[in-house]
Amino acid sequence: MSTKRVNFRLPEELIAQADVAAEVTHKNRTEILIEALQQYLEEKESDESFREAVVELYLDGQIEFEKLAEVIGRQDAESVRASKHVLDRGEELADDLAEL
Amino acid sequence: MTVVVDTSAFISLAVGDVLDQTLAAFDVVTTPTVIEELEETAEYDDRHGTAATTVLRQTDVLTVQDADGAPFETSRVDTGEASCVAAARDVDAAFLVTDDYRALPELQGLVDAEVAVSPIVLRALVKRNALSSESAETAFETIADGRDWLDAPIYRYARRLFDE
Repeated sequence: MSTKRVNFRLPEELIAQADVAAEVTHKNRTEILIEALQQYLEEKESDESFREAVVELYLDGQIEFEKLAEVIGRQDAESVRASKHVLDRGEELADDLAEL
Repeated sequence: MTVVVDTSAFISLAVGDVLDQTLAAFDVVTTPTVIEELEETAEYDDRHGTAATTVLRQTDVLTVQDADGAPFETSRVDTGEASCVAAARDVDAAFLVTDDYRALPELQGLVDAEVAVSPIVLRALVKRNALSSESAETAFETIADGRDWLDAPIYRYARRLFDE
């Protein structure tokens, strides 16, 4: 996994707690943060209201298809994409249907 | 030209109370498998059960096409939908209507017919003057009610079809 340097500020208390956890588990501060963040994201992504909000973001054109697929899985993402395509053509399709 | 309607779309249209208008406006075709699915659904004492019962009372005004296609099932396309695919090919349908958004990509790849969803049927009924804009919107909101995390945002997205 490629890495990228980020700068952010954390509450001192939280850093102190993380350092204790690092000491106990023989890991460094970065490893602890990565692990914690991964766990948090996994939990979030399995949360339905979170997934729903991500689908909203995609439908609003705020995130790319690939990002959607990463969060909700490729198969569901393809369903959302196909639905969006159909609804984007909704007016045209309704015209065709009305003419039958 | 005919319109093939699957179980999910029938349920939606009945829930939205626009089944009569739909059957009057279009040459609707479905399959014995869909009828079976509706019969199973009708056993339930809930909104969907009531809707399925409504559809089953109307079978005299639709065509039940026993398609020649071999029945198949995938992780996303169930036997009812598969039978509709076969029927759409058999009768060379112009449209296949489903409200199963999870099956949409696959269904699109399986039929030459346009795949549409119930909100589009509502819009078409309005264009046909078979339904008022207000009634279409009410039907849409009723159909959209109580959807899961994947369907709910899609229905919200579909709402723009009714913003005139």
